[in-house]
Amino acid sequence: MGADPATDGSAAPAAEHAPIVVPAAATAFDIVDGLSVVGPWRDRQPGRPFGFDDLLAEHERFGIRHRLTIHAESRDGVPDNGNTEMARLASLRDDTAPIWTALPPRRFGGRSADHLLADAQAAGVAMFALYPETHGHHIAPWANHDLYAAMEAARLPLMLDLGNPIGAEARARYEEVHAIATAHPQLPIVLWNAFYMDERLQVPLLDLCPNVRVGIATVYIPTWGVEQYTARYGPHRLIFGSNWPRQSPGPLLTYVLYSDVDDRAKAAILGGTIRMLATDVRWPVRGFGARSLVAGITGELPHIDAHRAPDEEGE
Amino acid sequence: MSTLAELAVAGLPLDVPIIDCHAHVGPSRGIDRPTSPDAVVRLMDRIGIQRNVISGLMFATGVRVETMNDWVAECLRAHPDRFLGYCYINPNFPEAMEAEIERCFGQPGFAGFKLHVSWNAVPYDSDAYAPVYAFAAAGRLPILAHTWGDEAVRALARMARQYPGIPFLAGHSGAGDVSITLEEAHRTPNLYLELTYSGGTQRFVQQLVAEVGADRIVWGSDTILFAASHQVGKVVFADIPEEDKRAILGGNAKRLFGLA
Repeated sequence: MGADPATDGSAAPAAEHAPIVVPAAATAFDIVDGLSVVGPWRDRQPGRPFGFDDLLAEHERFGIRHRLTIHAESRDGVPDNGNTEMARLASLRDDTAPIWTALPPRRFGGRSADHLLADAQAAGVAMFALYPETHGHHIAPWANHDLYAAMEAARLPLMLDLGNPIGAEARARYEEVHAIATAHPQLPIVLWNAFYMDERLQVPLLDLCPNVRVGIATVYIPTWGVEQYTARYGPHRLIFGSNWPRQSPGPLLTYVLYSDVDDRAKAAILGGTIRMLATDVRWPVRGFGARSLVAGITGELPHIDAHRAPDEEGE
Repeated sequence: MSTLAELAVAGLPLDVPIIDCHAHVGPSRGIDRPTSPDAVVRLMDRIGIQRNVISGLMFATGVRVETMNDWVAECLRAHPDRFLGYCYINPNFPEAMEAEIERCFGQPGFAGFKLHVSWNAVPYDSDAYAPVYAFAAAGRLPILAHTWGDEAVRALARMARQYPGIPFLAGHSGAGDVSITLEEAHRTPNLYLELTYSGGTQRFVQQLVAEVGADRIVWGSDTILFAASHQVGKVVFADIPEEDKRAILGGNAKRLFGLA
């Protein structure tokens, strides 16, 4: 049944057997880890790795060359501290994009959406995450309109951790997602930590909201999931991520690689879709670049006007 | 020869006769997934699973165990070389228990029992299960029981020590308080650790192997709830010897279920 990451073999003794290393050439896909985490966390068990070098080593084992990474401090503690550290780590390489934890502008001392996005642009951020349970804020559109509108204009995806809820709590979370997705239809939304029996909650949402996608890390791993979602929606609604260090890329890779879909769909899930989202952001995301640059189009990136409505973008 | 990890990364069936000791068939409340015997076999073939040992899903109906066991029987008839069956028993209906045991094992392919304390709320060391343990002991039939690193493991282990001829498979080993599971495994030679666990990674496989040895561990997936394709990854990518992976994925279960 459900995941209990806190007891996931964290106290495992060092393996005496030589570590498995899968050569990158053995994987047919250009894999992007859509969700990895660095930094210590509250209930980490002794021996459990959490450093950036540890993450890179784990990715090296599986031939993963690019990643979106969030700092645990931003998720669990003071967002600014974790975001700053994540930006510093990402700046050391050209293959890692930061995910930042955002706090809503509407609070005492809150920064405006313009400032938040300007900072994110400077750091090449790929995505904003919200953790309303931890940081004690609303996620409803009425409370966060400025932030969502600015993100929508910048095509900066919003990552929401559902918290693996069930029952009434799960229905409430999906109601919140629906409210955001319909109020801001150009805002890409990626859901993580859905319960693996959520398909009846997800299908109506995905039917009605093409801007919502589902991450498979945090074990959204239903039997036939890749096949059913791909058949109904095409290959661009599921996103691979590892949720390292609580989880590992390995089982989530085999979940996709053994699925009964064609290689085009696997490529999209394993990296194509998250790469598309990253290059769609209105600034160069660190490690991914902007779509206009990728396409070889010269010229300046659009100026970010956080208050510009989506229909005024001329697209 | 390719390693299991290399085959997995290439998306190729693993070249080991895998036995899934914890699989389900039939419809379930709350989900909408293909569950026909042919559909399940297609899933098995993609990974290289030789046999699924199956029970109905407790989510579907905790009362009509006959219905769940009928789904199992349908698979056994459709693909007798690909499935083995667990007879699911609900101890809250003692008046029907012995007849259902006879009905199940009167059909080819039933090879063990599935018990689920969380669904039935009857502890494994209750006298209510006595007909199950007596029948299993007589035939040395494996019993797969839902556990979660909790009192259920302790109760199951007590029964395992009382019935040393029965292989008891502690479902979801590694979940919950793994120290309880390991403590009972150390004390109980016929308690085997079954790996189904959505949150498990190769690290916890490595831990269990280091603690109790690979010959005490069997692989399961919880298909059709979560995917066998996910659950196999934590074994093939574990930093353990290749022969240990083969034992966990199939060799040990082959022995316990008396397969040729």
